[in-house]
Amino acid sequence: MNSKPFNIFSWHQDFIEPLARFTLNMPNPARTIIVFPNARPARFLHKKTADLRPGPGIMPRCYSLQEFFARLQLYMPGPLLKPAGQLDSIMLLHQAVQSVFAEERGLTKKLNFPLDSLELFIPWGKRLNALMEDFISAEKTPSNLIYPETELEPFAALLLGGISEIYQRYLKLLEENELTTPAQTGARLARTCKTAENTQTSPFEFLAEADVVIAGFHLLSPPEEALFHYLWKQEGAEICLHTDPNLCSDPKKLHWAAREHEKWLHRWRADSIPAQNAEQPPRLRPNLKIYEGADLHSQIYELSSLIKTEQTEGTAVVLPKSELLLPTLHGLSDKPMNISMGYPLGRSPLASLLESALLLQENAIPSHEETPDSGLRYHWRDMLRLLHQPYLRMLGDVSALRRAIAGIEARIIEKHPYISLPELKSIAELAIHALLEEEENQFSLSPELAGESNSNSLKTCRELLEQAFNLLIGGWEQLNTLPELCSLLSELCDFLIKSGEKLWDRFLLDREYLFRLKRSTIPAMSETVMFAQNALLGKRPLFAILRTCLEGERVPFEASPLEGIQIIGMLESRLLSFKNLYILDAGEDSLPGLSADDPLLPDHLRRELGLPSLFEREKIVAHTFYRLIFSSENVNIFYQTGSGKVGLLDDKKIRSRFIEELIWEMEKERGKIIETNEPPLFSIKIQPGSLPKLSAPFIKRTAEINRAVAAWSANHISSSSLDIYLKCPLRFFYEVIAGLAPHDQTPEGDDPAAVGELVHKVLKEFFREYSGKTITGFDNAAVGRLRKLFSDRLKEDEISGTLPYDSLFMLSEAGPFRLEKYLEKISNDNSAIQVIALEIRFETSIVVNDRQYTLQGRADRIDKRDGEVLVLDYKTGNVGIPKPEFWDSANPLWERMRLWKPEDDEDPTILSDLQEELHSLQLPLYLFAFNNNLDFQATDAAFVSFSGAEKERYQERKLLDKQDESDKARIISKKIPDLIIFVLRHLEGSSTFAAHPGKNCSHCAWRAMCGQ
Amino acid sequence: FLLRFKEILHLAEQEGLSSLPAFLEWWNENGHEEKLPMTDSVDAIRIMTIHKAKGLQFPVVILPFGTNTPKGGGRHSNIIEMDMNGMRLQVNLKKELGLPYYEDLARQTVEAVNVIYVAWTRAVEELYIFDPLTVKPGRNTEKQRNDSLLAMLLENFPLSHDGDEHRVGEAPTPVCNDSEMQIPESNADAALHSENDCGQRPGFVEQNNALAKPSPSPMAWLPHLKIFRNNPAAPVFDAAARGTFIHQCVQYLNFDISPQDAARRAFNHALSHTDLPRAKLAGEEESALRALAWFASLPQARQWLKNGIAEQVIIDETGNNLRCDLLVYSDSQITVVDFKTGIPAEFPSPEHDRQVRRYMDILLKAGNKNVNGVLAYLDAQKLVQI
Repeated sequence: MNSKPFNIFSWHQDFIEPLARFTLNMPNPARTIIVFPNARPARFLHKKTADLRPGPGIMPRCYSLQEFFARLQLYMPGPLLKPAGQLDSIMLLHQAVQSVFAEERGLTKKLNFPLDSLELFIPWGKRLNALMEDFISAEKTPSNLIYPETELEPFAALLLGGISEIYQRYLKLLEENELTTPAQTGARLARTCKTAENTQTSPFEFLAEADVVIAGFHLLSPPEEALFHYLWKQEGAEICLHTDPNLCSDPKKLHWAAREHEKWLHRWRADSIPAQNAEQPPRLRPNLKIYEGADLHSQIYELSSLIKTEQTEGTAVVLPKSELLLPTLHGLSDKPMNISMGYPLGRSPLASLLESALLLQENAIPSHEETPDSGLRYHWRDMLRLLHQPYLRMLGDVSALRRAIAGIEARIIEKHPYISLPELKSIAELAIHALLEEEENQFSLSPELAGESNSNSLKTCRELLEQAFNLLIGGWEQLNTLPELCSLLSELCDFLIKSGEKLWDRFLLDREYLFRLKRSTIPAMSETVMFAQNALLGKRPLFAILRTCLEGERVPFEASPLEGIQIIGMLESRLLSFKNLYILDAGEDSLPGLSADDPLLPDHLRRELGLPSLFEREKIVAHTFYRLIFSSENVNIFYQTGSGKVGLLDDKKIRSRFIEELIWEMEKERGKIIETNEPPLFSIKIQPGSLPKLSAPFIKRTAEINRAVAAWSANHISSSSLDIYLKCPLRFFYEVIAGLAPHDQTPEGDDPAAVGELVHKVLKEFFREYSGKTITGFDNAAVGRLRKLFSDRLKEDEISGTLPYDSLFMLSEAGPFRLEKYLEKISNDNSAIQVIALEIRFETSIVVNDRQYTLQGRADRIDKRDGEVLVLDYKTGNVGIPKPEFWDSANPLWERMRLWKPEDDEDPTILSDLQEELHSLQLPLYLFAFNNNLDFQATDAAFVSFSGAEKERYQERKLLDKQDESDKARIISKKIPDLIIFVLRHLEGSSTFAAHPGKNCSHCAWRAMCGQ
Repeated sequence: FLLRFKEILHLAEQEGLSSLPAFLEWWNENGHEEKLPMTDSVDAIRIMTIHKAKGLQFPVVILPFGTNTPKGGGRHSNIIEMDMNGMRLQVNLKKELGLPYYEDLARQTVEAVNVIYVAWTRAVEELYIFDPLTVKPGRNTEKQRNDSLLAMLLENFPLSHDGDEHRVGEAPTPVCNDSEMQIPESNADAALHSENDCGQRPGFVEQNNALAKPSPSPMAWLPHLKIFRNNPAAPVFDAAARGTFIHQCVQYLNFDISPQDAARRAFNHALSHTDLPRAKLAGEEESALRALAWFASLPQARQWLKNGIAEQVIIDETGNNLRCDLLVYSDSQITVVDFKTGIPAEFPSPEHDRQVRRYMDILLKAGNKNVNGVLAYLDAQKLVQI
């Protein structure tokens, strides 16, 4: 048969409509078979055909290449073999590698790669499988590659060194298991076609009466080349290309992205003719606009403003990468949209749920060291990650379940860092019980609210959680075989589907994820040889298998109906054209895309070996891109630009080389450089609105609050709560008046409060020996005693179990060191010290506005030295004392304090100003309390600082340092009472509890409530 | 800012921070370092660090903190290893460590001079350097100024060009902090008028009012998405699935071999190309092989499959797509063959009869003269002419 010339459809217009006309003009359109590279164009072709020839009729039969291959395989000679899935191939490759290197155990040991570990092998197995497929497809038998180990991962170098034996052994294993890989099937098909061509036979009976059209192909794989050549040469198939029309008219002007078509014609010594294109005159160039944005969301923002809701017909948004799908959907959510693209299942919330179940197991520890089978204990963070999974929180009666989960979370946070499943279940029971009780109380107070429904839904929650915990935690504990994993996953799927009920009608994407897991991922695992063998694999290899399967799975979203804006992937856009085309994020990283560094075989080696490389991929992407934009009408391309890395997570992006070329072509025409904001190049402007400056938040005091304050102050007032008031009245309100307490969290990092307590305890015990005695210095024995005391108490303390190792280590070194330094400092002072009291409580009273207040507190130590009585307070955190000038009567603060009246609120910052100068009320309170003691009269008070700035460390920082005796007496008798009276007056009379934002905020428990 | 936050969420998800606790943990630790990006081409004053300005040039450059001198032991200072009681420890460089600290300080100073060199050499036409003289009580301001790098520069390169100027600015009047603490009028009113609300966050109130219109529930658009909806709750295998599978098998029948062999070969081939659970299908093997072998043994079957096109799409008057199991062409006529599995109560079942007649009707309307219809009941091993 005479081979027909190739039909060249100009890429300056749509392909589908002219192709529909072309097939309608064929002798028998109803008996025409059209083969497309993918499935999508068939839908568009049917639609176009129906438009062109209205009324009832028979459509041409369309096949995607994959469907066509499957159909043809039936006619190939030889036994029918079962297709090997990826897992089968990985398993067989593992066997092959083990047997090839069986003699070289020593070598693999040196590489620290146990050959029998399936878990470690799986990632390599995936790459090795891809490589084997490439070799089979290219019909090349690999030779061993000796590659310098320094340039490759040692294990990769090992595999390449034995690649020939691995290949042979792998093929043999496939044969023994009656399996065939996709590349082997392709190669067999190619052989069948070549034989048929040579012998001039027609093996494919079903094609006998049909006219075949091969439409829209570009770069051909070896089996495609063989098949199409046979069909063209022997069966008279028509080849239709959507490409640069210069291919027929003026090959010298041919666009480089169409060169592959030229080579194809050349290879087959074929002629080409322009196809009878539709009446529409071809455009030479689309209306092009290019937008640059600072990030993806600025592009989406502009995109959303460009697409008018009422004009979505013929509009497509093409996404070069699948991860752009969700941001795009969110950004265009006010417009009708359909989706035609694949999305990786591995990025779905469903995969995230499974991942959190896997992590839980991987980070678990045995309940009892001696009996590892007695169950596992899980880290609280992993547990929270699981409980936060949206799928879990959205099941059943959402509000009841969320309340129950919140109760469980609060209890987990308080618990020991590790909890077991039975413990979790009893926590859940407690949480639900508490909620039920709470409800009962509410109903008893207002019986009209009582109803069965709430408590019922809480009871349903109990069952739901029980099931969820079994399927997400318990079920994974003892996994051993692939059938067990598959049945657990199936049960989990069914549980989610059943308890989600109507949820999946709303969350359509998630519905597809579940469908895919159930109908594709689980079957992919359950139909492997490994599944049938039911081998004991153990948990970790099973996890690796599951992760591999999830990673490889794509969820194919299919538009239905084909209305609204089409959200479509770059590859899925093949052969289609649009009136309004928007391409998002056209960066060099996706167009053409960067080389995915293959640690097994670097890209440059692939080219050397004649395997498809990045070079081929670039050609395909280029043809897809240029065909798409040349054949569309209004083309808008977006990309990200910016002056490098701005945030912590984003990378510097550059625009695609294809955009660069489009601009360069225009620049050549215009004879000048095209600047941004000169058509067609626009910059996306988003004016960031300035954030309103937040004033310090406050709580307005109501009569009720005032009553609560009065009730509180009628009791004993602790010195520390008064100090809190000075530092931040709002914190005082939350903590002291409202009585709120921060979550008692499992401590994971440093625990300054616990360290402080420990130091206090040690010093108290140490100085107890010296109580009533006079100290002039400390000998080595004393120092040794103190060091030992610290070490002993640290070991007994709970923090030795909860502090991270490095913190504990530093504390065990730094603690004794600093205490020793303190003793050294005392010794160096050369003054005689008499310890007169340790941890002494005080209670004193003061009259303010005719009302008596009782103040309480506790001082760490009281010393008598050189006639002075010093009240000491140990501090392990930062401390501040007022400057000497503070006490000066000329300091305007004193006058402000005297004049302050609650009614007029004329001086709203007085308290914060006072706090800034005074820092803390603690030492003044000590002096006030111990001034009228019967046994002694305090003459000064000091903080002993164990941390902070170097010059302050181990020093006693005295409140009244640098004051002479008469000033001291005056301050103690007059100024300090004035100070305390003012703070109490303020506390009683102020109309608000206002926050004092400052450095204390960083570790304040109420920070979030302030918006700080 | 919200757009940027969305971007950060998206990037974080890409980096694997796909759960809420993981993101929040990251955000608590690093969120404060996030910045708002701008494109290079925005027509506005560009504010950037000196490091970012490397290699760039601008007509006018303003350096607000142009002469900061380095301090040792800062946040970015090096960590060195030292010996403590025979233990190797990594510690921050501090003054107390002596020589290594000063070596580091010297190195940082040289680096700072280099950085300042970069900053001072970016301007093409005008360069404004602000040399902040913070007057600290008790310190010699003159000395501070002489210590600054700007002073060193001016000493070596006195201002000589026209327009060069060294101006000592006036200290701005300190702004009273009171304004920050005062409650804006409108909010004070709001606070007075609302009895229940005992606290206010002034900045937020106004905004809340502005956004008072009811917002749709989150992701309300999702159910309207136009995508094909699979039903995950549907049973993985049922009578319909079995039927689809046997249909598939029929297409793979090979008439050059015995009907039994053809049935087995077609069954195995379909089994290796199906998405249906193979374990369940294997259970149907016997009945399927029986049905297929019966069909393969029919004298007309070979012609049907040779001349027929499977799964042929036809369109009705309104443009709807319908799929026939098999359309068989011969010189003068078209035969619609529809395969059925299962055993109906009567032959043909009225529903099947209607279905085939509908196909035939469309084909007649499409201009075909001679149209036949056949129902092939595979399990019942019965052919019914329509």
